[in-house]
Amino acid sequence: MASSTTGEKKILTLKGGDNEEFILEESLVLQSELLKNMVKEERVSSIPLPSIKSKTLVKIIEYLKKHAELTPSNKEEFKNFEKEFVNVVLEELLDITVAVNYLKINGLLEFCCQAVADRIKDKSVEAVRKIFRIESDFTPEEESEFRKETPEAFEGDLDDTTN
Amino acid sequence: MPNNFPRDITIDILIKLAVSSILRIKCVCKSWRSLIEDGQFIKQHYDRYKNDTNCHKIFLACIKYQYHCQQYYSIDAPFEHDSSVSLLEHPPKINHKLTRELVVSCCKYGLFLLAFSYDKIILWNPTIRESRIIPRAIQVENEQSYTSSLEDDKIVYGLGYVSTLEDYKIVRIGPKVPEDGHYNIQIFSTKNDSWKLMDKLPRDTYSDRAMVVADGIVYMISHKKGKKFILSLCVKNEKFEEILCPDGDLRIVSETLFTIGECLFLAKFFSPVNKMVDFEVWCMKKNGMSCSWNIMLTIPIPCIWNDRFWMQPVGFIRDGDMLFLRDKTEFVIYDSKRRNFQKVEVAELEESLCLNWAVTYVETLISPNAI
Repeated sequence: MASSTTGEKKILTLKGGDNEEFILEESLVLQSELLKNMVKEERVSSIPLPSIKSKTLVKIIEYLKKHAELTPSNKEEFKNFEKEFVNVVLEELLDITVAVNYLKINGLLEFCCQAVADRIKDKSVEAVRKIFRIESDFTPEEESEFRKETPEAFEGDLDDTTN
Repeated sequence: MPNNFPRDITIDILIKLAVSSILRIKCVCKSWRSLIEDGQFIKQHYDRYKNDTNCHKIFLACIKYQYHCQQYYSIDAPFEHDSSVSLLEHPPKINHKLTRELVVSCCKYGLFLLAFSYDKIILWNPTIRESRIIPRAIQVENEQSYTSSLEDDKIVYGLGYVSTLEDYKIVRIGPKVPEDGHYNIQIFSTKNDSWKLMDKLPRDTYSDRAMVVADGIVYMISHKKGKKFILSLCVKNEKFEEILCPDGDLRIVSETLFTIGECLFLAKFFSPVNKMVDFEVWCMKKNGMSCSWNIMLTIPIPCIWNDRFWMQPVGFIRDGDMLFLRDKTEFVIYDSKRRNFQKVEVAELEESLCLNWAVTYVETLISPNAI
């Protein structure tokens, strides 16, 4: 990565869940409260993040870079980037959201949660269950009671994948 | 993340959904349901939406002429021709014979009070379709003429929230006790689920008892020896106070009190002796013990009085423009820049309805049974 041209800048290695390594400037990861504490207190140069898929990590690093370049003049461009950033299949968006929460990147977490909320707001109960991989723990009686009480909850958007 | 999606993110996501979405998502699983029914979540959700005027709705109570029964609608903001309208499901009636019902009050937490004859009242959150039957008030001797149509025998109710006590209060005034000419006052606490008899309304004070409740204080226009003022009753310390109206004297005009959120407003109307005055809306500010009035809106006479004169202020929408219910038949918006009224016909609202009362409110998840 851009390490060769940065002279004195410190370099850090992040190890994704499938052992893929990502080398980046230490200053970038300071946006993550979790990594910031690790770097400052433990002076590590390599951080394993086994719970985060490499694919997710690539996305997050992409965000960190863009966010670091944010200036008042490219605000619009950044906004468009953010919009594109969450424009992924829901499963991936949830992976990102969980990882961002773990890494404690606060600004991005708010944005991801809003994106998830916007995507599930019209979904049916069944679709939401599938998306979050939740199995109903209500009894069949309770379940049929809900269907009677709030039929619209079960009639929403059934698509549980892309949208 | 099979089945163990972190709870804190779940909260962060669900809090961003409108009430209608949350209600459907409640059926996902037990843990989500308990999270959504949690008092802290409900409060956080309300705090997030209370200042977002895009989420405010208009509650409309009307009578369908053919059926003579009340119907309630919720109209989406911003208030315009293509606003979507939904018919609210009526709360289960206490008794089907009791048809004379009236919406009497609403508080900022999206709760409404419905009053029926025979002193029967219901606390209702139409958004989550939950209601609570309020027990009957304390029976006072000589106070039994509920069916009488005399003004003195009517009972009036108001609903308010006392933030310092985190308690919802229902205020009940009347009927007049024939012996001494007093009005009894009772206050119901949702926390204690009981009524309490208070001091009577001061004897030499006449009041039309059309009360409003704002921030735990009951207000009503009153007279005493030819002087007009606003009588306030603090629900918390049970103290009466007299508040001067803006300009001090209201003798020549009619006026009405109303609330938006938890603020008290006063609208000054036409004169009963045909002396026209400008229509003015004043807002009261409390600074500790004292209070002051700020004028919010002045509508010059020529704009307002043609041959119509019943105007109910509903609320401010868009930069100080005010929405009114006019003559129980139509909504109008007063455009303060152009200084004119614009009629708003909401397409989805059926015609031939008698529009009785409207108020702006916020949809909340607060259950009347959990307060």
